[in-house]
Amino acid sequence: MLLKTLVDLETELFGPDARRNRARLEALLHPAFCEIGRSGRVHTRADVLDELPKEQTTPTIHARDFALTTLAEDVLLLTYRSAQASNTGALERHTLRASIWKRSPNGWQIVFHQATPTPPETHKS
Amino acid sequence: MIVEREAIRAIVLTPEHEVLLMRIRAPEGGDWFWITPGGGLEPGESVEVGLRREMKEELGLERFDIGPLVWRRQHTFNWDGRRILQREQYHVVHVPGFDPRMSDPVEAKALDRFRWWRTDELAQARERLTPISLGQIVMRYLDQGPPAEVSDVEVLVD
Repeated sequence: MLLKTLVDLETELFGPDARRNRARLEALLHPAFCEIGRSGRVHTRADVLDELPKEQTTPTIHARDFALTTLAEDVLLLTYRSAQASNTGALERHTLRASIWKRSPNGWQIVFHQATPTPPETHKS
Repeated sequence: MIVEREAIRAIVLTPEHEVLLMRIRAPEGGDWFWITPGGGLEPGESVEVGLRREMKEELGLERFDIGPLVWRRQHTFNWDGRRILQREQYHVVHVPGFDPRMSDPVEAKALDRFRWWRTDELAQARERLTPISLGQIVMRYLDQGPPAEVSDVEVLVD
C-alpha cells in the first residue's frame, strides 16, 4: 500500500537513524530536492546533507492526518499535520506539511518539502 | 537497525468512564509516561490471543470481551538498547473497575504504578499519555461510539 510506504519513508526522516546517516539521506533525497522550512527559509539538498548529521538532539515528532494525492505516474503528494511533543505530552510548533515523492529506479525519493505553521487543532480525533 | 513489531493495546474502560493506565519508563531511565495495557504480538499470534495473553500477564484480567478497534498508531522509540518501530492497534475493553495485578516480571521492572483516570483528568495530564490524544479518543468513543473505519495512522518518533 503506497500510503503506508510513503508514511514510513517520510517518518523515517523524523528520526535520528536516518538524520545522522548521510548515505541514507543521499538515498532518500532526490538530486533536485529542496525544502521551504516553517520559518520560510529555503534549504537545498546540500544544506540538508550537511546539517542533519550534525544535529545533537532530535525532537519527538507527532504526526497525523496523512493523505496522498497522485500528481502523475510515480509522483505523489503526501500531506499531513505535525507537531513537536514535549515530555509532558504537550504538543508545540504545529505545522502543516507537504512532500512530493518520486519513484526512481532505486526507490522513492523526496523531491520537495514545504512546512507551514498552523494553530493547534481544537477538537478533532 | 530498527526492529519492527506489531502490538495490541486495550483502552480498559469502566461503566463510570474511568480508563486504566500504567506509569512506566524505559529500563535505561528517562521520563515517566503513561500507557494503556498491552504489548507486542508473538510470531503468528492473533490479535485476540495476544490481547488476552497481555491482559492476563499485565493485569490478571481474564474474563472480558474485546470491544471495537478505535485507534491505530506507530511509535519509534528506544527501549533497553534497541530502536523499535511498533505498529499498534487499540481496542476498547469494557469492564467493571478492578484491582490490577502485574505478573509479567519483565514488565514489572518498567512499571511504577497503575492508575484509573477519569476522562476529564486525561486532558490535564502532566506526563505524556500514550497515545498523546488518548483523551480525545476516549471522549469521541463515549460521544459517538466506535469509528466506522480506522484508517488514520498517528505517528510518534522519539
